[in-house]
Amino acid sequence: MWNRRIFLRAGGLALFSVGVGPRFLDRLALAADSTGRPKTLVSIFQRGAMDALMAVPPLDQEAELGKLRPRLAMSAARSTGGHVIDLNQRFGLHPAFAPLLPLWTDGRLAVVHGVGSPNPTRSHFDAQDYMETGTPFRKGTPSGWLNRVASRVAATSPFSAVSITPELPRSLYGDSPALAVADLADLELRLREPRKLVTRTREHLEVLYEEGTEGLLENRGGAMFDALRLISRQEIDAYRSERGAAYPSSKLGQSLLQIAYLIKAGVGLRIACAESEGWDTHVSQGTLHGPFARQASDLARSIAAFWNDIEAFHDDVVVLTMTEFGRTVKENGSGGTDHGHGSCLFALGNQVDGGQVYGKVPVLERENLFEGRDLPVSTDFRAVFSEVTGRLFDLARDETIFPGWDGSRLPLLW
Amino acid sequence: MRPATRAILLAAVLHAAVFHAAVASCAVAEDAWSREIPWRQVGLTERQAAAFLLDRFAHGARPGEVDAVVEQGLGNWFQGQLAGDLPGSRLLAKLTTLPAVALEPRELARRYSYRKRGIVRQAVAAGAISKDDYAGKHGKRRLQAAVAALERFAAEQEMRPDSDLLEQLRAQKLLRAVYSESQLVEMLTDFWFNHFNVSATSLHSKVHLLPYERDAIRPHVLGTFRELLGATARHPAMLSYLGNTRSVAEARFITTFDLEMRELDRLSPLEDPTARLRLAKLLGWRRHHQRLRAKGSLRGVNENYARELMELHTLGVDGGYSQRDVVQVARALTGWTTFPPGGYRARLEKALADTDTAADMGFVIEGEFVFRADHHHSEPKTVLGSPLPAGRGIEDGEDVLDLLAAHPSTAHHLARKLAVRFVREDPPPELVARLVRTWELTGGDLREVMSTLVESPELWREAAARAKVKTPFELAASALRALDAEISDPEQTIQWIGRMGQPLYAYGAPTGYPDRGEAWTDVGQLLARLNFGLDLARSEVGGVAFDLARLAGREDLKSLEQAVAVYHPLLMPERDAGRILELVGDAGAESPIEPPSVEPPSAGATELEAQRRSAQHASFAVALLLASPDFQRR
Repeated sequence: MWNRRIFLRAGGLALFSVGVGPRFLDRLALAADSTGRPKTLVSIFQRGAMDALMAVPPLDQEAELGKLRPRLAMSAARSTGGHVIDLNQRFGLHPAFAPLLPLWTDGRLAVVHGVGSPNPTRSHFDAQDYMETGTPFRKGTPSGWLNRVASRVAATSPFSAVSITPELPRSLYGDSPALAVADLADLELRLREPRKLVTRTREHLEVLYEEGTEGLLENRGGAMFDALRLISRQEIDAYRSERGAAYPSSKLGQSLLQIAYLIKAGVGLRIACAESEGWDTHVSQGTLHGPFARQASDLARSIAAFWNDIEAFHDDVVVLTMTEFGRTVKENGSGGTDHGHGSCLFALGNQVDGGQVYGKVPVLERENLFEGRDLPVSTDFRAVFSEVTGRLFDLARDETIFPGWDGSRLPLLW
Repeated sequence: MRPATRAILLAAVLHAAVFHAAVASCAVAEDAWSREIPWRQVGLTERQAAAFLLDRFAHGARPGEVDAVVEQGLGNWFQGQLAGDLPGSRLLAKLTTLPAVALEPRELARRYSYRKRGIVRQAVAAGAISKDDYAGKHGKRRLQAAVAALERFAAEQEMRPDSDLLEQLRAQKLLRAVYSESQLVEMLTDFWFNHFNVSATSLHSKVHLLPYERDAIRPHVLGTFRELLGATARHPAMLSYLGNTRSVAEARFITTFDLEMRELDRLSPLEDPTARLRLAKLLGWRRHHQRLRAKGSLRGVNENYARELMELHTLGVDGGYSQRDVVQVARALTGWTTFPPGGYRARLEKALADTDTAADMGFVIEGEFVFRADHHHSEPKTVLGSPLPAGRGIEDGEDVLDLLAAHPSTAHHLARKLAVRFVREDPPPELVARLVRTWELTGGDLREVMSTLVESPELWREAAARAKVKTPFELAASALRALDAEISDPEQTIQWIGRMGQPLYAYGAPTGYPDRGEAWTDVGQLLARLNFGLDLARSEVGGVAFDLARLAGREDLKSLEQAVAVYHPLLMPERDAGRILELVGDAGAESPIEPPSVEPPSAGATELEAQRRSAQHASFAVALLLASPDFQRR
């Protein structure tokens, strides 16, 4: 547990400060508590299962894709008015992901293709569970993989693991304290007029929760009042992104905005979770426009704005996307795609060896496909998760984080 | 399966159940609570003991309830709780506003269709809309007309989205906790639901949750563990949640149905001339089923339920089973399923319409539960060293449940879990051993186990520390009870419970919510708890009304200290108010709360001002008490 005494001493002073950067002393204490600059993983779960073949299509199989999914076919060939972005002659990028292109060109964004779970389930619920517990064949695993990472990272702050979602995601279930909140501005004590009684009540509560540091409630209560001193509603409301970074007004965009705030506030954030919902494109998936393009655009614009906003922290932050499975290679009868198997993911950071597509996409012929219909899984998601958190947080062994997995990491980070 | 064999097996099962029930009811009736609740031994007063009893076995005390329990006698109160059936008229009146509560599973599934698709399907089947019109194949105007017709159809048929069902499920839980007189049943329903957790995050289980709690959990929480286990094992909620509905003997294995068919093939038409006729429908079904198996749509055994059944529901993680047992139990439970959704339901019902024939072929239908002989793995199995002979049907699964329920690891696992829930997070081994003894002597009679628990001095030693942290649900329910609140709409309270970290019926893992204070008190959750108390005290939790002035007996509350002194015994009866009064008193002595007004006011204005100030003191005192660490404990 972190040393709360430091905060208590600093707290009185911090209460007087106003404006940007007021909780300076507290945050300084927090920084002093850790060794080196803290690293942060930002995990984005794309719920619903992203169609990897539309996100990052194999360019050399355009003709084949045109036959398998005529209503979803897109082309990179400029001569025929194609719109797909050519990444490296072998793979393309759906045009809605264009905001990510500069990051790819800079070598900071990597794609892992054919990634997924060894479990063949096509149920969203099961597959998300398996991915978030990190145990693809065991549902009963009580904790989530990110919580197990958190317990290995010397977490010193009430903000060390935060999910900007109304409910704690399965990946953060577990013994290590993790905070889920839909909006950081909710982190205030809701005392209202009159001022005198507000002040008194707050002081009494603080004393009651800080007395007898042995008890669980008192211990956690102390941390809570520390957290309230670390961030403030006014500061959150007043927060503006830097460098003109324009976040979408979507849930994901606003979550990433708040994560950027926490990173810059220096409150010891190590693991941050955000979610992107609506990738389950069974009907009229569209090409240049439509549900897929909308999702892709929101994801790309959110990540690009976030990255732009946190420029000073590029060495310390990695963004990792994930989705529970991929979608069928063939389109279905409603101009969409159904639940499949392998998908793809993005990893972004200065530490990422980017500008490359990792993993494999086979020739899209029946015999190469999983159960004759889906993109096969050539990279176990744990090979990526383990690599990213292992490198970022300097965690050597994986048995506690991915019990029962003895595969090797996919070399992805410097 | 020959009917004779089946009848014998059934009789054996029934006999066992009746025998247990008889033992259980005798035990309670004979004792008539001559048993002793050992509160005196730990130095409590009777009122303190009554308050503790209400904190641990009920959702806290309502105003005057401590007195009522003392008057009734603590033992009698507990005995009444063990009898269970005391919902109370206040609750029943509230529940009438929730139509789903009383509906049969099938009607629930019809009305609260799994998202929109289900409603469309029914509307098409009823001829209310044309499928092509709705799909937009005949232009925009006909599409719009179809959409309007669909809405009319949904309204006429009283059909609603499944989110509405979840809302009612959550609402009834809160209403029962606040208003039911059967408080112990509600505490135990919460405990056992969480033990056999099924989550609304699983879309296929969502529509089954209400009947699951109502039919599989609540009626059995004071019965035997075996009954409870069996009820959950046959419920569509559990079977779909843990994937057993998709668990099918692999194509290379012979099913029980195949065996019966082979036997039939051997019969010459002369021996039983009607057999072929009677079996025509089932034969059709077999052809369909064989096609599915050939296509690979039925994928084989799913081990999820089998594993959780042993690890979570019965033996416990170190309960002495192996991966081999998991596979064997999974095979024993193949075919335990429910009706498939949509059009397939009708097909299966048609195939099994001749119930006698279906039963002869090994099928079992009981409400929404179906045992499908055509999915059941017929090879011999061995579970925890006990052989299960080849060629059987549902008996395999029933035997497995018997074995698991009677296993010593199960007794230990659940005795300990109950002790954690009702006594403390690290229960003393002697207490657990005593509960295990009762469990084993009574064959897992949960009423007897609860009696042993309440008679244990280890429980009563916890009264002083009150170390158990309330779950967010308990926190909200106990606050509403203590304030004698009138709930007109539970929705906002339920949202608060979610924000405090316990979205009801939506814990995503089959483990259920962890029963540790740590799990409820991270920074965000704890802050939400405080804020719930603060908002509630200001009457800013919508749908909930209470009258603080009435609760204070219309006393004029001149200071915060006075107000705390009045409300403390209501919110935390018989608990020590010393520290908080000292704190409030010290601060009060230093500075008066409000500066005196400059103008000498009129008499009427003074009275109004006094009322306003009194109300303010009341609200802040209640806020402080609800948000205090003490109120977080039970």
